[in-house]
Amino acid sequence: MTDVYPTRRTFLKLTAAAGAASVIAGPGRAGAQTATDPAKASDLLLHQDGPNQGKPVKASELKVGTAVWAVAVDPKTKKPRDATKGGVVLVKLASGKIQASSKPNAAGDIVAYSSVCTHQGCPAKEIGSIGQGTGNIICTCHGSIYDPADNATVLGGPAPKRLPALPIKLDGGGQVVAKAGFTGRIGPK
Amino acid sequence: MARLGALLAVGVSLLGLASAQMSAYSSVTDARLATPEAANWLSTRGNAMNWGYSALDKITPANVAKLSPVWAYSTGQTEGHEAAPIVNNGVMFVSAPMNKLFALDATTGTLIWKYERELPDDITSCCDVVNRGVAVYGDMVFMGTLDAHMLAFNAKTGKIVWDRTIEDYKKRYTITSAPLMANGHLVTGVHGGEYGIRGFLEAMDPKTGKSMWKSYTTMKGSYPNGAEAQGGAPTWLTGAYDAGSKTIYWGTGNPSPWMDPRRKTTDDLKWSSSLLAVDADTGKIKQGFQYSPNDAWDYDGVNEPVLIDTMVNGKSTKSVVTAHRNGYLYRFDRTGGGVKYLNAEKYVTVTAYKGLDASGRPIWDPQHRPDIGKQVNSCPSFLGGKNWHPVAYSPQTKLVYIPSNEWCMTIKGAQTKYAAGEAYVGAEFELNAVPNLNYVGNLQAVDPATGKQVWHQTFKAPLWGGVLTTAGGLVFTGTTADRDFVAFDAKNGKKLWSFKTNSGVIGQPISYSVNGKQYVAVFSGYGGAIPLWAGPMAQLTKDVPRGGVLWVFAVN
Ligand code: FES
Repeated sequence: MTDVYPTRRTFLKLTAAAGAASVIAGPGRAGAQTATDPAKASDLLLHQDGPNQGKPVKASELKVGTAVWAVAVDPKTKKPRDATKGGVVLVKLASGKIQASSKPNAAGDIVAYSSVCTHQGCPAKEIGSIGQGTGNIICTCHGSIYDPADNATVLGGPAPKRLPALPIKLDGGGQVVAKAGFTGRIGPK
Repeated sequence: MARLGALLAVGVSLLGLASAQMSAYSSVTDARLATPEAANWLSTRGNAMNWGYSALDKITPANVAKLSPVWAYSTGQTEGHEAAPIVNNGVMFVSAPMNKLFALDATTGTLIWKYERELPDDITSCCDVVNRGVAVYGDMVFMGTLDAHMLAFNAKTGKIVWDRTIEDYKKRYTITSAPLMANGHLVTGVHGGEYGIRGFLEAMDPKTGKSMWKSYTTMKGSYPNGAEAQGGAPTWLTGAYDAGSKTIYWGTGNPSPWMDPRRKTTDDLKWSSSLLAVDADTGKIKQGFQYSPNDAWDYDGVNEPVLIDTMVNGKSTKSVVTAHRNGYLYRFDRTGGGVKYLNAEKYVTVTAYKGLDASGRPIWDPQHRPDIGKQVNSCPSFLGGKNWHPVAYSPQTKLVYIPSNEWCMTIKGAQTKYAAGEAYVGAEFELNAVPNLNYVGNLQAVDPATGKQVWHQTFKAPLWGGVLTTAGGLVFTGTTADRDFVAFDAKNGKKLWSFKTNSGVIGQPISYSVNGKQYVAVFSGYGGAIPLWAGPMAQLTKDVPRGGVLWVFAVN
């Protein structure tokens, strides 16, 4: 039998991830960072599903009301730097909807965020069509709702914090690329 | 290889202290489980028939006002505390979230031994990391775990006697409820209907953990081709045991996913959302009743079957009574160990169905049946007229006490693909209040034969705790937003006493006595499914502080 003996640090992480948004401030967790940045400036964004899977996301493909699920990849290797943390959700906002909090990281009306739900890590990659979720990014695991126009602030559900933004720009060919790394720590605490 | 968990448990086994209580520890037998002594609480619902009833009568409407805490115990966990303690001759066993287990002196709260499971890093459970309690048999204590193991402990020392992997937790099989002892078999169900597991019941030899039988709850032919392998029908709440007919009654949950374009309207998806009558010795599913064939609302059928005699026109019938997620209180004839539909009455607002036909099969209302891309509103919500939190039955008043909730949902199906370990739900939803109703929680005393309501007490926020009734003529339950543990007069529902606890009360109250003194115990420790799934309705409990404490009360 192989048994897993997690350290106290992983135990705390587990508690916070699996529990109902419990927050345990502990030295073990403070400042914990991934060894590799899940995205860096100039990283390409490739479609993660749909008919264009594996192809770069073009600004012209984004439609108001539908999200695009992509993954950030190293332009040299075309591989994600961190497969579990490189997911990105791209949303085109209706004109005039973007708020000051989202502007610095946006490319016009297009915004991009980590698609790893901050609750338990399910993909937050869709635009909702029911109640408070309507027009916002939703996670279908437990119904967390993030406002794409307001820097992915949590509007509802169990998510304890917003999704980190991925600052983006358009390259010469109209492709969406990263302008910098994610603005915060990816995924559940 | 010695497990760290086992070492830990031994490490804190305070053997000196333990000796006094433990020398008196009395082995648990099938006979004792069949007719438990009034002083003890030997299974999570007090007996194998799920009554939630204590035959103790020292605490009464006349003296309950003097009920006050005698000891309390903090578990150190901040998730939902849904367990019922077990008490056997002055020794209490109580489990906490993340599979902590404590053996305590039931009169003083002194710790005898404890176990803290070192769970793998990647445990995921749809609905909080709860544990609803343990089972006792012989000189052992049994706990199912979030990583889908069954553990057997020496009741006196806390030492692990055996540890068996029931299923692969990486596929999101988890165990959150107590196993059931049935004719010497230790029977467990599994949880994971939101992840495409295949439900089953498994019986083990309590001495060794060796499998005696295993019965799957999804049926080939009743699902679209091959879909039964990820078809859900989990068995996540403890069933009941009828010693007379050697039959286990156990409910099953929703099909996985909630909606699926491959399904035809004629696919019943058996045995999801059903009540099963299972032969305790062989595991054979003898008969079943499907509450929600081809379910699309997440109306699990796991809610606890209560085995009682019901009386209609002077005729007594051996029955199963259960307050179901879809808002109906069902009554079945269980004569001879079967399950035959008798009648069902609404106990909350129901719009999902037009009604039930003579055989108890729902008559769908297309306006309220969701589908892929088809959005509807239906009541009750998928959290149910009642969820896991059990009713109580009093043989004195002949009433069942139902901790019900009034709520609806907007829901529509969404495409989803199965991937092992990932959520497999296939729906988008949002809960809402029942229009023009100023409450959600409703504790109701109901005649189980006719569904007639005798009294009720309403609460602004949802109820999520179990109910206890006693021979002293009392009904106990807890509230979420108000953090109260409350006693009512079992006959008329008059509120007689309440105590403001540390957190929301979602535990299952129990009663026991030691040296002639009656105690009432309950967990306070909010969490569970509401904060995760109830959307805007969760706002009603957003200010409830977290942290689990077991409270024990007595009249001094
Ligand atoms: S993982 Fe729970 S809401 Fe996203």
